[in-house]
Amino acid sequence: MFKFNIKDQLKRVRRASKRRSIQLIISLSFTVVSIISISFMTLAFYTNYINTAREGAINNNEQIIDQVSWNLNSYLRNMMGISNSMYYNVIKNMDLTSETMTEEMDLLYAANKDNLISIACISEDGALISAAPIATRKAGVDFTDQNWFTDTEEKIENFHFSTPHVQNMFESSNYRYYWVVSLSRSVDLNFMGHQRRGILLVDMNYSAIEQMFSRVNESGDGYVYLMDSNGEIIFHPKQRAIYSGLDTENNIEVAKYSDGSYIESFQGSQQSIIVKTVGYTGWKIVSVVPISELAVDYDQLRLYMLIIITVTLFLIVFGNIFISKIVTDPIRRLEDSLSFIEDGHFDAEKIYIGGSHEIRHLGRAIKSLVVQMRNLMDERVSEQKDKRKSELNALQAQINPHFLYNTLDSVVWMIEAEKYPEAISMITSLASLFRISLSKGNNIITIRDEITHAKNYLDIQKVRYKNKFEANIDVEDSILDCATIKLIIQPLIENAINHAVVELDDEGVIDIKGYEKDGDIYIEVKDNGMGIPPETLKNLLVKKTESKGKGSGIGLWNINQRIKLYFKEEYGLTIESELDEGTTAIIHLPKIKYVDYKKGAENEK
Amino acid sequence: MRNKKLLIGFFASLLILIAIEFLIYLNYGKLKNDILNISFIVTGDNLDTWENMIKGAESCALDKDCLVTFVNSTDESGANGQIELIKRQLSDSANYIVLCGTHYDEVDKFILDNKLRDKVYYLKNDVEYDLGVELGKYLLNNSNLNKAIMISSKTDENIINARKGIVDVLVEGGVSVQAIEFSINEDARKQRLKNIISNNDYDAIISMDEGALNSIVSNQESFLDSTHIYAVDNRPEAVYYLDSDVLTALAYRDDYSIGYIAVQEILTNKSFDELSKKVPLLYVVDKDLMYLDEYQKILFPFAK
Repeated sequence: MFKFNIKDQLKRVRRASKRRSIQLIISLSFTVVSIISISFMTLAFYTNYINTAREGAINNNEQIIDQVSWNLNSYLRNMMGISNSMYYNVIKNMDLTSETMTEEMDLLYAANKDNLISIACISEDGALISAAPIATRKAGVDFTDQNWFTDTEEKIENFHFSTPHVQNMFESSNYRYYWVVSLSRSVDLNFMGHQRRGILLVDMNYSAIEQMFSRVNESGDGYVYLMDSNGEIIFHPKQRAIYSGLDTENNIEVAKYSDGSYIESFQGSQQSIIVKTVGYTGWKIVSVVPISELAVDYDQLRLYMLIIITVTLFLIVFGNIFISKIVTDPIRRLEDSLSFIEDGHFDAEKIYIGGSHEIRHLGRAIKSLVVQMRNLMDERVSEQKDKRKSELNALQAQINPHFLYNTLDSVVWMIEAEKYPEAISMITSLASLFRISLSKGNNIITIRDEITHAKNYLDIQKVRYKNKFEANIDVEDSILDCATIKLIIQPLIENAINHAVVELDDEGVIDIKGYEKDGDIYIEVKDNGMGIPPETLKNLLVKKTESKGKGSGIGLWNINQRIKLYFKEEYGLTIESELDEGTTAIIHLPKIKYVDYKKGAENEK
Repeated sequence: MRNKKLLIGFFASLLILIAIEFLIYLNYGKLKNDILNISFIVTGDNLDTWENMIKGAESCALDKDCLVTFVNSTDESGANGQIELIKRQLSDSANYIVLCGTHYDEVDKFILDNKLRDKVYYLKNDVEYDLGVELGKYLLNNSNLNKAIMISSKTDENIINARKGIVDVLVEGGVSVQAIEFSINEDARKQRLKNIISNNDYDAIISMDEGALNSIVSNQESFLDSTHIYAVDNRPEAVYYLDSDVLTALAYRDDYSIGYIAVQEILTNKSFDELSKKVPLLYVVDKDLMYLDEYQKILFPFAK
């Protein structure tokens, strides 16, 4: 079960974004490019598809309008045919006084009563000549006041189509009223051999037009309506609401359009308008489809596309993150290795070698560099050590000329005083001193030899200082065969003599002790001198202090440095002192048998 | 390990995303198909009287994912009949009810008790009163009447309100107004009418409902020439009587507009008064006006 800590993840992302990590750059760039590409492609295809679909829908509507126009034209032609038939076959050939006219009119009406409400022939002065089905004019109705009458009288050469109105001209026994469209024309009447003018009126049943358009409006989106050339509505699916002021239509504006398709804005929404003029009447058939409805079938397509895009983008984003992670992980691990090196850990085994060929090559190169650096550093350290050893050894190798001069002087004095045994002893001690000083060039000798060297020195100095001091040497046998650096005890004795016991009024004491403790070797040189002031004490081991005129000239610092150089930092020389009490110099050495040292096993301890 | 976490996280997120989008896709179809059901409860023995209102309501519901249903409660069933219909319509998944009936107080109590105020709308109740007021004004402005009688064959809230409107105007105009109610019996009704006319010399007889008008028309030969007949009536027959000079004027309620606005009120959440501000709902028409463009479109429905 893995634990998903959102805070940690967010921190990681924030850190990565601040550092502008290579993974972030890669995944972000690829994601942005992918999103832009997909969006562009989708938009292009979608727009093209929608536009094509929209155009298809508009073309479809245009075809419907054409069909409606054809149907309406057909109907109007039929009505005009009835009017022509009545005029040319009946009225023109008959006298007004003839009863045949009424019979013919009745026949014609009966044959077309589905589409007609009435046919009537009216004289120019408004008298009803003949009518079917009802030939009785309603009381109080004056034909000459009717619009169809006045329009026909104005332009006698044309057919006239009125706007829809309720027919109220003839008596009726029931309370049914019909909406009609009146087709009127001027006709020549024969009245007893004289030509008179009259009007032939054919009242078309408006419901025929209404049914024609209602059928179209039942299917599809939007609606179709019919208006005259002035914009007055002849049929509209919502005409009743429009007349009552409950709804509005842009008919007055659309009446100004010529035939064709348009996109207009009405009441805040876009709609597609197709206009077609009906030839005979100048009426206009108008199709209105809200743009939103043209694409309503595509809402689900849009949703589907949106889902696909979302999932695709999700896959792309994740894919980018995952792939960039795989690509950049080795780089990051290599970077971590470099950080490790920066912190001073020159461990070549910790360098990451992995990933692509190039990254592996980089890793191997870095590893090789690290190894070389490591070797170089070790060589440098070793060189520095050797150099320091050489310097210290060279220093050590110097013998204070004053000591030699005074000692030889003492020997000359003894010989002159014929104290030959004392002279021989001093020369012997001196020879032994030099021998151990040289030690065949070895810097490491046994403690035994070092103690012998110290004894020789003490013997010489006792004679010189006329036994002004007493020296005691107490060294454990167990450490005598252990290794030490040469010429470390004698300088301490020299200091004790020169700086401590010489100044005393009483006999000075110098105790030299050597013992083993906690696995290491300690050699103490203790005197009962005046002690060393603290401010002097703290600087004794800090810098080289040359002895002025006395002693062998090897400073305490030199002894300390040599011990540390040959052995470890934890070993060396310490000085303890109490004023008026005395001073103790303590040498701390590792316990290494001289033979082991010579074998070289403990050289690096 | 980290890659494994990433993979698991990816698949889990992908599954969740697909599930959410699948739900949206399903519900989208469902949302698109939700249709609003509005039921009109009217009073009367048949729905022919409400034909104009039905057309108006259907016209408004057209293209708006809205279905309009008209059901009638008979006069005899009274308030209980309307209440039963309300219950039935709501259980038949009607989203809203529009009441066009009578027995306002009793039905209103039921609605309040059952917390149906947000689902039940009343069709504007003071239309009848306004109609009466308009007719009263017409009478005062177009005739020199001193005495008028209002005749009805039934009593319901609509008739009471219309009567009140007429009375309020005519009384203020100094006209004496009487109201009578006919009995059910046709012969008794005829006799009563004869008595009224012969004994009281009314200038105006105002028919308040179809029953009264039918009786008046069938006895019109009894009337004096100076007696004018007026009617408050929405039927095509009343229009015919007007056209036939039986009626001098007709007070007509535009049921089409009322039905249209009633549906619009529910769809737009605006009040009836706000929506009907610029739409006339009442007309008082005489023979001279009835064939004018604006009136004939209201009085004569487009018959199929």
